Amino acid sequence: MSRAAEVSLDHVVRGSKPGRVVTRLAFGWVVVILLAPFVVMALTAVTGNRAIAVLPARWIPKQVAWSNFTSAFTAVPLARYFLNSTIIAGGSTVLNAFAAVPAAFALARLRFRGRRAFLLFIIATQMISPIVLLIAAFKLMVVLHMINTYWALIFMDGSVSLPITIWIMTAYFSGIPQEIQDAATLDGIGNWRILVDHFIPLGIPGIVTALVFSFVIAWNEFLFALTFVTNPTIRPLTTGIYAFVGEAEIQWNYLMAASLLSIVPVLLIFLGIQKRLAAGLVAGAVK
Amino acid sequence: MMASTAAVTGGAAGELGAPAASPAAHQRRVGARIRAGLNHISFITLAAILCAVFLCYPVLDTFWLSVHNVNEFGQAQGFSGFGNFSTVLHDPAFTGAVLRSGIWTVVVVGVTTALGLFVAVLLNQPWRGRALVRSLLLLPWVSSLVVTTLLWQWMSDPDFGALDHLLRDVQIIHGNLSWLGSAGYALPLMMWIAIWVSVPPTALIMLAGLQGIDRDVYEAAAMDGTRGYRLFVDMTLPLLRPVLTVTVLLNVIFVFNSFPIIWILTEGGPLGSTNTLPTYMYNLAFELNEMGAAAAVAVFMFFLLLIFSLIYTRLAWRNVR
Repeated sequence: MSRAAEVSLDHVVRGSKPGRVVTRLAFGWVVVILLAPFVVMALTAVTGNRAIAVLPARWIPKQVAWSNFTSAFTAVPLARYFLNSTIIAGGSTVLNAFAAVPAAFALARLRFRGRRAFLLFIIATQMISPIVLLIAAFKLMVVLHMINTYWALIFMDGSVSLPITIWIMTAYFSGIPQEIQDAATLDGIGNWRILVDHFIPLGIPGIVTALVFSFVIAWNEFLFALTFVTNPTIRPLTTGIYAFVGEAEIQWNYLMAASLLSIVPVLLIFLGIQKRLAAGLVAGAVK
Repeated sequence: MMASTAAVTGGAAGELGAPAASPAAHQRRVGARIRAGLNHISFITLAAILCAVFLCYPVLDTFWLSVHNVNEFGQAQGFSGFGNFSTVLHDPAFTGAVLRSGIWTVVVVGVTTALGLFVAVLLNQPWRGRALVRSLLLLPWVSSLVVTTLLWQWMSDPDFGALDHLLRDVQIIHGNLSWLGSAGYALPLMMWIAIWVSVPPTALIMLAGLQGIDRDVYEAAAMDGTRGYRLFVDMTLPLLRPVLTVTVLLNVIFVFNSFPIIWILTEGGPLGSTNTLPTYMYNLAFELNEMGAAAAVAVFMFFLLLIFSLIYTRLAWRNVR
């Protein structure tokens, strides 16, 4: 398509000029409203201890208190929480990978009895939400002696995200050319070898996208962490930051500094796979 | 979601056939088939076990608990029929929570869908800085609900919060407005937080859907003289329908079950005035130790969503395919 045609088509799609100005302005406002709170978060995170308690409140602090980012680590066991979140989110993602990759391969590429049943089973479990199974899951964790251990959260978080990761990976594996599988089968190579040698390398983009979802779901999980873990040494960031609030006087500048730091790892991961992120979800959902 | 089932399952039958030539050959073939079957099953074993133990069993146990008398340790003590359900149904706080859950879900999903679509359509047009805005929109998505909820709690602080500060600066209010302290403002603020966190992911998923629409379709429509708004209504919306259907369904499920925002800000209080079904259930189970009644609420929530999903998907996929 020529450049001129492209421009005129865009003109057609966007509509008349006054209408365009109005929509642009409205859009600008929406974006500002969506993002301004993060500016507030950043400004609060660098406001000093004295300045934060002075009325009337100032938008921009006179002095930038970078020390908040280190003080937050001593005010609460923030490093411990980071470590716990890493263990929990990492552990559940690894568990998820070992379960979801072969299952998705089987759903996409193998024809076996019970396949339809398994597929329906996965779709049905997708409908189950954490809040509904919470009570019985709590009972289960008591029986398994997993209350106040990493395992409770690793198993629950890893399982809850299974349907969605299997779904995304199945969509991806389905798109890999059949000839690759046929050629390997003719050579007498077993299905597990085919998966490891051919489908995992070719399916890496889809696998990574799915596992990022699994990691982020676990990293940001709150309900299970609140219910299954009361021991501060096991607590992940979410309930750790929430515990900040339980204390008598909330140090909002430290809290915002800690919150900002907690976002960084996830943001970096998301930026890395940004292009595939939504596309992967849409593929998983409607393909 | 539903359409894909048929597409993926299509080839499940077949391949079993060819009558055996001799008993020995037959046996060999049966053996091979069993081995192939076991080989195939081995791929789904771990996933099936995890789903069964940590997802399906708890759901079944919840059903079991809901029709039994349950002590505070969650042990069933004897069949109680619909006793738990009747207890819950006679609790005025439950009726209030159902009502609030309905309003909460309809308002949050409705506004989120409208705003998300608007943002997605504009992000789909070429302009400078679009990539930057798209990246920045990941921020509310990647932050945990704890972080975003506490951020809004801080911003709605009557003395130091940015919200009151801003409203004072533009002369809308004079003095302080305690958002969470007043029954009339707490729930709307929570709904706004839920909308605010839901719009970015919704918009980004819709954007992916928009980018999947073939531009040739627009060119053809443009030839016919269709322009701007009509083009959107007549071309974009119908083509985006599968994606819209799925995002609305997913948002209804997430929003209806949403727990952290309300729990962190008020724990459903004061006096249950901000309770929705999830916080009502949590309070029942873990503060009041009424495990049986809480299980009944969970079962109620499960069926409410299930019935909605069935009706919704039936309506949404009618006339499609």
